[in-house]
Amino acid sequence: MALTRANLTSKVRSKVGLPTAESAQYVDSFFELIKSEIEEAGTIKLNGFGNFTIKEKKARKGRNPQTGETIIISERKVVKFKPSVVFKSEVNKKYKNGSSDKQRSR
Amino acid sequence: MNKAQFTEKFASKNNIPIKLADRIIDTIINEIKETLIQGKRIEIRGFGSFFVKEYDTYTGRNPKTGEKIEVGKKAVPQFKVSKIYKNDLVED
Repeated sequence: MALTRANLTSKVRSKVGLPTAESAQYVDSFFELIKSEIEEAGTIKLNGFGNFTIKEKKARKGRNPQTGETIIISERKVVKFKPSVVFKSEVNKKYKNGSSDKQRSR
Repeated sequence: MNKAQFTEKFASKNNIPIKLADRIIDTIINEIKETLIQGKRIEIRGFGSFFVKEYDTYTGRNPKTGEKIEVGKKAVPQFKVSKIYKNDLVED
């Protein structure tokens, strides 16, 4: 089963020692703040975790692959996440031997 | 924006001391990381999901020299923006 907001809330409740309602509010606030700040600042760097960046994409012509019909893909913003080198190497611990990430993470 | 600035914003938004904000943020981030290190997914409605993509060994090339190299098994954390959030981003 995937982890959800509820799991994060109970972790904040037990680790930080706060009431459930308050913990839930902070978990919500965390993700809402990433969303609002990323539009303002363009990049959010969370040390040891990774960077969230927002990119503006221009409108372009695309095709519906099923019908072949040409459509305009409107301009949009996309959010990207780039994991930090530390985090990547932590996820890769089980592949310690022969990983190319190993050298870079030193 | 870096983590310190983010923490400051978080503290003032929620009207709490920076120290507490720091602990809350670290707890959330650590739990996300721990979950991913264990190979499990995280889904946050209206935000997105985090998961780990596993790559098998493959023969890659150094793009500069064209030299062949063996790339070992690896796992890379990924983030996918939720549909709701994605649509919000298209609209404004």
